[in-house]
Amino acid sequence: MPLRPRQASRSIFNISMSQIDSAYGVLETDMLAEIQRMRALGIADAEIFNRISDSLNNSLDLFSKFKGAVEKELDIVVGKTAQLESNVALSEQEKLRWELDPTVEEHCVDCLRNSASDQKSFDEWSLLGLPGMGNTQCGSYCKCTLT
Amino acid sequence: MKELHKKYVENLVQLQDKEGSEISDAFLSIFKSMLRASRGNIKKFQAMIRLSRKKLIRDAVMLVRDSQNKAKDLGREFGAVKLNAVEATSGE
Repeated sequence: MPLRPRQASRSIFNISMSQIDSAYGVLETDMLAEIQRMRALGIADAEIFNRISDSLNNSLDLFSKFKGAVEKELDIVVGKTAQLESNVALSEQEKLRWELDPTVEEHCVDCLRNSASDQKSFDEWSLLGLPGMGNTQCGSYCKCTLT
Repeated sequence: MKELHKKYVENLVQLQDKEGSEISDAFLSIFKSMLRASRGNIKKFQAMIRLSRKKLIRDAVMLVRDSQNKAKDLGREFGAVKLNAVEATSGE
């Protein structure tokens, strides 16, 4: 089935939003567990509040984990979307080559294999997985491109 | 083309970093406001975090959509550059 860019873009967005919502849920659960752990150790609520405040004000522990999870999702949604749009522009071309990301020295085996393979049409590359769509070992961090 | 690809990757990484920290900082900033409003009451703070989930995620939808639109623009721009290069080569 040919790739539908609009649909793909919507899916990328929906998955990332669902992951951000899950990260929020994990934050709630982690906070509850942390509070219960401190209470079990006999720590007073006022002190627990201070520790949670420190953790939040300095982006530590559970808040650092939440921040990291949100940033990872933004990496994915922005990276995948830009990569998709940059390659969809060439969808009418019959022969496309997989060009390696020029900003990194070491590439994953999948990208190396793709760059060494014959030129393919956009639809053929879509079936194998376009750069940045997560079908290579480097996953959504792939910044290779089709030319 | 290699130089243009390099520039695109640099711009993309910059955009990823910028959008990621803007949105995560926005969440943390709201949590800090809740912390102040809870005036030392840990139970109240916990409840505020729990009850705000739907609204904050709804707000995040707008922010993430905006980030995605910026990513679309960046990708389309590079796509157009590549297409021009292909057309220039085939016209030679």
